[in-house]
Amino acid sequence: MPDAPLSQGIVVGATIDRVELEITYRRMIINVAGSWDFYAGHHDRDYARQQGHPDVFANTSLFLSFADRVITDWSGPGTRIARRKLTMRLPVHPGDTIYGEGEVTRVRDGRVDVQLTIGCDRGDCAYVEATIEL
Amino acid sequence: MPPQVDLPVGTYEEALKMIGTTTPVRTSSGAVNHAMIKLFCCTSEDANPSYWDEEAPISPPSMLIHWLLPPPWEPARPTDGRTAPEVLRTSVPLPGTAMVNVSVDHEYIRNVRVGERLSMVEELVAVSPEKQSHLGPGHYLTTKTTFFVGEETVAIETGVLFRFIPRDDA
Repeated sequence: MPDAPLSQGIVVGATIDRVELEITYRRMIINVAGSWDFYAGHHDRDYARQQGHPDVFANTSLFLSFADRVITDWSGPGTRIARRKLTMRLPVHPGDTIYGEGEVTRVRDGRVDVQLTIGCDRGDCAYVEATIEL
Repeated sequence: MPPQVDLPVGTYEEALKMIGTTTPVRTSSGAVNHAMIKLFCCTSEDANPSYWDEEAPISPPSMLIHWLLPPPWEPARPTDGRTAPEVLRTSVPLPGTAMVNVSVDHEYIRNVRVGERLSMVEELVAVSPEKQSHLGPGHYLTTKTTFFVGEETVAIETGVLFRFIPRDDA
């Protein structure tokens, strides 16, 4: 039985709209520079290959920031991410286009739980569970 | 070419001895600022006005750890263009020569605002026995990172990463 809807009309099962993001080399450079994350696997293809990857791979914060964007694009800027768990499944590389989409799983006392899937053509890349304060 | 982050090679037993180890308090090299927030938001093209507001922007929650990373070069610590952030999660001796993040769970207690200066302490919570994965054999490391401003805890992160021997080398 779904929880009672809040005044905002959010109910369990409500869809969190799909957002897409193209992973280009330019975006990888912005990712590295914007996060001060100069771990070689994020910018050095030779090093990434040495580590078993086909190419440089996005850092975890790209997934976290993308998940937050998907959520707050839907919930609005006045809402706050109170908790977020992200489980990695597949690294993403230049040439991938990732998407995020999900649904509301619980509604209670000004808080909403959501779950998201972040994926690309190769499969699911990450799973996210988050709690939003309204 | 040589790796740019040298993960310390050691045994599982050596890693177990480090459980409970905490790092010294590390403080960000500068205060939370709007210019860095804007660039960070460009990666995911996040137009959330909370981050772009010129009067009272907040740090994106996913950016917290990045306020604590060292610049890739410093006068006092020239690195010849290489960088090896001194974080506990990359300081544990294990057989694995590569690593990948598995999961990260954040509790955000309050927003972090421009002008605040973040500190953090990291603790090694657990090291798993050897496990097999599609990447190769390795160990799961669990760390807990506490972020604070002054004496106030603002966020807690529980991270799990996998330290492995890449399959081609296994």
